[in-house]
Amino acid sequence: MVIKKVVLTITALMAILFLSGTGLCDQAEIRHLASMSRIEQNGIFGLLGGVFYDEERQRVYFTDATNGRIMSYDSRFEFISEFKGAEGMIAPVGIVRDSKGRFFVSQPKTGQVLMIDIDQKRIMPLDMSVVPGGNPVYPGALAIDLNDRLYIADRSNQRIILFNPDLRFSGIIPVEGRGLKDVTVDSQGRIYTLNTMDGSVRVHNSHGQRILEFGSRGKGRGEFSFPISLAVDGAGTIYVLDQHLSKVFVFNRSGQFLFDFGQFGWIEGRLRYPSSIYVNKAGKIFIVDQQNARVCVFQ
Amino acid sequence: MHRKKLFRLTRLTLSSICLLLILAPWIASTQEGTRGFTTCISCHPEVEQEMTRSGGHKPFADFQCSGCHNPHVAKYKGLIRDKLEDVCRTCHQDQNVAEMGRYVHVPFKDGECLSCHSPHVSDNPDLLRASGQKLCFTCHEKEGSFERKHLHAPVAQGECLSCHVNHSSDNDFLTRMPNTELCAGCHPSETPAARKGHQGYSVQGSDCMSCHSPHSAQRSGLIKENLHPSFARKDCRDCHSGDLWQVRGDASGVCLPCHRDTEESFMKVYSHVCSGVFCVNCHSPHASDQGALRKTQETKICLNCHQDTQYFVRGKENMYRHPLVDKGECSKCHQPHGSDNRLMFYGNEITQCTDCHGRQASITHPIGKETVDPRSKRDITCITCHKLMGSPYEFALRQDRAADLCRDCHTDY
Repeated sequence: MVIKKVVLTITALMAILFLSGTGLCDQAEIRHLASMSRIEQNGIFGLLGGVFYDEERQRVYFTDATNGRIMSYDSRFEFISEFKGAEGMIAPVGIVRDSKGRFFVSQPKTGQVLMIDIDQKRIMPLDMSVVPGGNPVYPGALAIDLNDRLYIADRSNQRIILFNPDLRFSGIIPVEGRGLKDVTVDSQGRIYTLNTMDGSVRVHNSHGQRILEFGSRGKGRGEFSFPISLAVDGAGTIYVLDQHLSKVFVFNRSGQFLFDFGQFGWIEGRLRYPSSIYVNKAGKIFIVDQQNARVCVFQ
Repeated sequence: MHRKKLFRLTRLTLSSICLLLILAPWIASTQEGTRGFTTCISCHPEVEQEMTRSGGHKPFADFQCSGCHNPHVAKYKGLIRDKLEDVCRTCHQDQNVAEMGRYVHVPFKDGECLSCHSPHVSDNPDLLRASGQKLCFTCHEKEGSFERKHLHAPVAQGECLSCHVNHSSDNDFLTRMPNTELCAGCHPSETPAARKGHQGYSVQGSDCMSCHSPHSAQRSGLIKENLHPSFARKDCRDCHSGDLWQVRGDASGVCLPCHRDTEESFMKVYSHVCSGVFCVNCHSPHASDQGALRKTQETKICLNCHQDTQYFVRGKENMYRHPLVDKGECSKCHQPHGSDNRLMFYGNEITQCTDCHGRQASITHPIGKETVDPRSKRDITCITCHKLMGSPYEFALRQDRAADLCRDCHTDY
């Protein structure tokens, strides 16, 4: 009897070791922490845009495009306040905040990126007139690096538009492939882009040269159905959110598929047509759960 | 002499015994097959009649009913031994969907071999149920696109397989070759006549189907029905310039100066905007048989990218759908360019439905801003309970209304 128990225990331990080695067991480590959803103070959420975590102030910000507001939550995911801009901010989508405390929101409806300085009570659109031709700029996702350099995913021209901290246009990074949807930047200044249509992730160095490319749409392991957003954590792990599968695909810094997590549904911890992802320094994963009108937090 | 005769007789006897030994299993099986077959036709006399015809399926001709049927019990209709596609592939192993081209004929993909093939006997080659285009027209509507004034010669001759393949292809519409090569086999593109017909422009490597209908058309030259005004006027230079006929303007700048309202329709929270001349992702710049110069049927354009919806719409088990889905009119509910509403609707998730379903707006489970879905904490709308793209449940409900649909929220019931 004792021998049988010992054998069983050893077998179970071996299985766990094997599974953790293959990465198949890793998704058990991802757990749902909280959701920022409708409460009396914040009212009904409309179409939610991007989500951003301000490391310095330990706050979560996300946009509510339908109601033209920026929502602010503390590090325990309790509602703090909403910011409704003056007439300038109509339907904000992408959002980031720089080290000076200035918000930047993209506003596709007007083709603008707005700089919002709440302390100074100032809203100013960035000057896009100097950006070279092509289609009218459609500013989607935003990213900001440690030097306050702003990255704008211009979906209508398949490129990243760069602005310096002094809010001057500083260049473009053309992105190969089809269907540019998201951009993010890591602590090393590497720029990550995601194309929805061809399902490709591209990593560029800080000079804009492509250093890695991976990902495709399909039905195989680690292949996307409809990748919509991406994020990268401090260790260089890349998270790609798939809207149609309600899943997050996780890749190592070389683009090797590790595991996925997420499940379709309504209840806490499930996702329904999620649209945006962000990972903070502490490894918390923020997901805009579009059809459930909430922002979910996983660890 | 006598010894020689005896030796020959012995040799003959031994040869016969050997032959008998070799043929014994076959004779036995045939006898058994015939015996089994006799048993079958005692209740299925129509099968006996089929046996008198030539062109029988091999197992059928060999009386091997049990090759495909289980005489006693089976999970499948017609006492088929296994799922039909698996039964067929027991012998036809080369017909494996997984190893096929990118585009697969729907009945073939769905394992419905009997849509086209007869299982026992047929007067047509490959046991086809009908000959030539008669077979194709059992599913593909002849009315309209095959009956216009001018017919493409293979259509007139009933030879669909001149251009299409039956099971799978790497080309859309199951064509034998990419559109850019398909027509050139019969219609060389570099002849003086071809040049003249295209205003001197070389159409080599072009997709002929962007202007010509492959089956029939009211216009001569099989030109499609709806024409872009510049194309109709033969004013190619409205949009093209230079010796290489480059597109004028920067990216969509070729379209937007005339279609001014269109730019705004893309500048929405949700948008189908893309790089380059993105208008031609869905619209033909020259001619089309579809409204709004769409490249092809609306559903085909949409489902090409929206693969999750494709699964719901085409899933065999999802027999309940919104009627507009079956009509292929996606843009009746969804804005095709861009939208500030969820799911690219024209309005919110309630008004989008109640604009047509007025009665349901008043007689319904509570919906709207005051309601709260206990699962997600968001407001309850029509699509909280309905899955209109395709559902196995009546009224296109998300779940069985006799079970989980209500209990998901009303947990105390």
